[in-house]
Amino acid sequence: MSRTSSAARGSSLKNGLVLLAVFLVGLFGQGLAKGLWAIVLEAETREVGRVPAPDASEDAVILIENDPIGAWGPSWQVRIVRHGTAANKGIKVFSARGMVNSKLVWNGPRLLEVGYDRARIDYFTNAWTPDPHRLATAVEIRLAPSAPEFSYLRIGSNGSADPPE
Amino acid sequence: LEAKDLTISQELSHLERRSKPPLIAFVSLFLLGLLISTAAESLRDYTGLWNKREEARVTSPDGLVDAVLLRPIRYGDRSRISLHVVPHGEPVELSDVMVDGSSFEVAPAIVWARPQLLLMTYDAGCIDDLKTVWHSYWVNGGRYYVELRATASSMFPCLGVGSKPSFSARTPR
Repeated sequence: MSRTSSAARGSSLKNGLVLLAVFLVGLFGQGLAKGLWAIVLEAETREVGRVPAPDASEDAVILIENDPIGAWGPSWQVRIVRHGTAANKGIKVFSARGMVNSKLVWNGPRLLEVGYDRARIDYFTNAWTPDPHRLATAVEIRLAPSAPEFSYLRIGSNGSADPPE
Repeated sequence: LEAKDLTISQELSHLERRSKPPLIAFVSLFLLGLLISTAAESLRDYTGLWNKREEARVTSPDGLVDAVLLRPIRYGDRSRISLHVVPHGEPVELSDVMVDGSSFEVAPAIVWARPQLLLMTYDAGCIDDLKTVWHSYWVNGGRYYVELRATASSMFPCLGVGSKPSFSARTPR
């Protein structure tokens, strides 16, 4: 009899743990899905351009990240790294899709311009520092779109601005 | 003795089968977890909005959307700003943000250059995150886009020239 009751206790503990796991999957499902997505569909990046700052302390690097599922197309990234170091060691300051004619220009050792004819920007920050305690080495970043108005949307025949096909 | 063992083992397997929770219990608990996480997100948005005031709300020339500039009222850094686009007259969803900025002692100027083209001009301030295209499935049958163009009138709006830089440290993304 004691064997059956201890087995029943073990079984209900197992069931309780499974139910708890199911509850936790529901609770943290979104985060888990994002994490799994990033692991399963790890995107590849390749460096396509590198421009050293005038004082050669930093490099501005442009990378293209492929789209593993082919839904959105590749993504362009700009990272700033210590001169000569690998691009993936740098901090991302810009990312965009549908970028055309990307151009990086240093207008001084502490001012970087990101130029483009077309881009749908997903992320941009206008300042970068390698070390928060050495702010004298910080870099300001500016956007420099070539078009005077829309840089991504295009005005169609009906007068409405839409994304390019 | 063997017969007794057999009976016990049969009883055990019967107990295991009988004590297995029904499928509806798994589904309900999964949905409960999902519901709690969604409610927590909504609560975070609501409490976040409670501490923000609309510094500006500018309706687009076609009257379909509003650009809304928010700033904290009481808690947190009051030089922080966030810019949102919402369907005309609707409240802001904090998670849908076009610009997240800090060190904006003076609010940026928000102007519609034309329908679907929003201009943000600022003299001093740090941009922590910016997106240039906004889209909603709730406006114009889901075929309505807004593009943002942010222009700084000074060369070093975040770092300043000859002054102490005011931006905070960032971690690699």
